Amino acid sequence: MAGSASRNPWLMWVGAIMVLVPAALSLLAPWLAPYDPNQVDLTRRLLPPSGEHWFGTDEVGRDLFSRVLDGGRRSIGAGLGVVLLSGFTGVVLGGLSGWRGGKFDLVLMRLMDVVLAFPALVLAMALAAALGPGLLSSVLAVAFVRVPVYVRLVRAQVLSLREREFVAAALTAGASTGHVLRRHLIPNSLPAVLVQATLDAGSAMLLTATLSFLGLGVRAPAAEWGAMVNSGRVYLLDQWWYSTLPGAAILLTAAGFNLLGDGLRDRLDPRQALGLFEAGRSRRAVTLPARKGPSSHQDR
Amino acid sequence: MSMGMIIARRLALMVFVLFGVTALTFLIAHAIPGDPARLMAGQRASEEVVEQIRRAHGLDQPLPVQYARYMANLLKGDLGRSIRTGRPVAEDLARFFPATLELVVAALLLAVAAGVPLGVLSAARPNSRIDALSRSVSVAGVSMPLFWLAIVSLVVFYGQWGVLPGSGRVSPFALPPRAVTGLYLIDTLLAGDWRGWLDAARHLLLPAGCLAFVHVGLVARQVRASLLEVLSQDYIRTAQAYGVPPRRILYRHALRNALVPALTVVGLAMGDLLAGAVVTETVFAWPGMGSYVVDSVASLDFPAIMGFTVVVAAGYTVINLAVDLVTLRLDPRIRAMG
Repeated sequence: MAGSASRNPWLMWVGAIMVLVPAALSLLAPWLAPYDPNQVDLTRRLLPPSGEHWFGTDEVGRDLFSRVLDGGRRSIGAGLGVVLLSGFTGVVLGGLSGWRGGKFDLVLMRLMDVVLAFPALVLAMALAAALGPGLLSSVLAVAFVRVPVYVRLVRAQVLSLREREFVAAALTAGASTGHVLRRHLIPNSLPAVLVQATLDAGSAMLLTATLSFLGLGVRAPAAEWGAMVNSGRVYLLDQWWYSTLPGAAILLTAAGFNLLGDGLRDRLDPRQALGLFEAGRSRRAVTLPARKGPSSHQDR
Repeated sequence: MSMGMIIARRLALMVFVLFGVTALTFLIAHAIPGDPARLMAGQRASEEVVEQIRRAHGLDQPLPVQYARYMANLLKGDLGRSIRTGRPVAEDLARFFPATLELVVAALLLAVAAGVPLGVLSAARPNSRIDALSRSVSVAGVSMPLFWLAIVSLVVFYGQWGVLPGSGRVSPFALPPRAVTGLYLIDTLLAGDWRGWLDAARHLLLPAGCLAFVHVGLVARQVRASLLEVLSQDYIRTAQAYGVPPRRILYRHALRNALVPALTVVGLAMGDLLAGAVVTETVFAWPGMGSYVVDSVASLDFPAIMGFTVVVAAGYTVINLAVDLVTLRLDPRIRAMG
C-alpha cells in the first residue's frame, strides 16, 4: 500500500534510534539538562546558540536546550499516552464488537463512522477546547479521535480469527467467551495493534503538539515542543532558533516512530496496519480491486 | 446490486453520519464544559446575568429539547452567534470561506502536480533514485509538523531571502480585487488585473506549498502502487508483445487505469487539507476560516468553534461521498463488489 517506506531493514533501526535517543534524553533531563528548564534570567534574554546555551535562550532567559530536553517528556509522553489510551479502548471495544456482532456491533461501528467523519485535528480541537486547555485534555481529545482506528482493526482481526480451528477447539472444550477473547482472540490480534500503535505514536505526537501550538496544550511555564514553537513565533525573524529547534525535535521523533512502525509492519504483519492518512477511511475504493498476479512483490 | 441501490445506500449512510456529526458536536458543546451560559456571559458576569442567558438560550431545558432546537436552527442555517465578533457564526464563516477554499484548492492542485509525476517516475523505475526520493518525501510528509514547516519556510523565503511575501492575501496598501467569487486568483483575472493576479499568486505560494508538501508523498506513493499493479496485468503484457513502445504503454494504457485509486487518495486528502488550513492560515495570517477558528479557540468562543466543526465535518462527509461515487463511476470492478 501507499506509504510503505522501509524496503531497507536497517531503516527500522534508524527509526528505533530516532525514537530512543530523544526519549532517553528527555527521561534523563533532570540529570542531563545544564540548567533548570524554568529558571528565569532576564539579563540573558533571547541569546543565540553558543557554547554556554546550545540552543540559545528564550524571551525570559530560560535555557532552550534544557527546555527542549524537558519538553520531550511531555511531547513524547503525550504521544505514548494517546496510543495507550486509544489502543486499550480500541482493543476492548473492537474485541467485543467482533465477537458479539449483532446490534452492539452495528451501533458501535456507526458511532465510529461518525467520529471518523471529522478531520482528526478539527474534532480534537473542539474536544480539547471543551475540556479546557491543558496537556491532559489534549491527550484525551486526540485519544478519542484515534479510537475508531483500533476498534476497526481489532474487530477485523477477531472476525477472521474466530473462524480458525483453535478457537472452535477452545469453545468445544467448554471455554467461556471471556476466556476465548482474553486468551486467544485478543492476544493474537496484538501484533497488528502494536504495529498500528507505533505508526500512530508519531501522528499522535504531531496532533498533540499541534494542539499545543494552537494554544490548547500545556499551560505555561511547562515546556512542550509544540508550545515552544508557538511562543517562539513572535521572535521568528530575528531569533529563528527559538521556534525551529523544538520543531526539529518533533520532526525527528515523529519520523522515527514512522520508520519504526513501517519496519515492524513489514516484519510482523504485512497487510493489516494502515498508514497515517489511510487510517480509518472508507478503504473500500482503494483496496477492493483484487490484488492478483505478481504485483505485490514488486510493491513491497 | 444495482448502481442505483448502491448510491441510495451511501446516501442513507451519509444522512445518518451527518446526523451523528451534529449530535456529537452538540454533545461536546453542551455536555462537557461546566456551563455554556457562564461561558457566553464571560467570567466576570454576575449570577443573575448567567441565569438570564441560560433561560434566554433555553439552556435550562433538558438536553433532548435543546438538541431539537439546535437541529431546527441548524437546518435554517443558523449556527448561533459568535461571542467574540458578535455576528452570526454562519455569516462569519461564509465571509472567511473563499480564502480557505482558495488555499485548499491551490494546495490540492500543487500536491497533484508534484505527486503524480513523482509517482509515475518511481513506478517506471522502481527502486531507483527517484523512487527513493519519493519514499523519503512521503515519510517526511507524514512526520512533518505542518506548523513547523510553515514557520521554517517563512524564515527562509520571507525572512532570509525575501523572495516571497510572508502574510496575508495581498500586499499591504494593495486593494483586494472586486469580489465576484472571493477567490483572488479568479477575481483578479476577471478584472484583467495582471499585477493583482501576480501579487495574489505570490501570497498564495508559501501557504499552499507548505500545505501541499505534506500530501505530495502520499499521492506519489499511491500513484506508484496502483501503477505497478496495473503494469503487471495481462493487457499490458499483450501490448508489450505487440511491440507497443514502453512510453506509450505507460501513458496511454496504464496511467489512465492507475489514476482511479489515486483519485480516492486525493479526494480524501481534502479533509486533511481543511484541517491543515487551520495551522497554515495561523502562521501566514491568511484570513480564512482556520484563522477565524484559532482566534475563537483563544477566546473560548464556543458557538464559533462548534459552528466551524460542524461545517467542516459536514463538508468532509459530502466530499467523501462524492469521491466514492466518482470512483464507482470510473471503476466498474468496484460496482460488482457493492
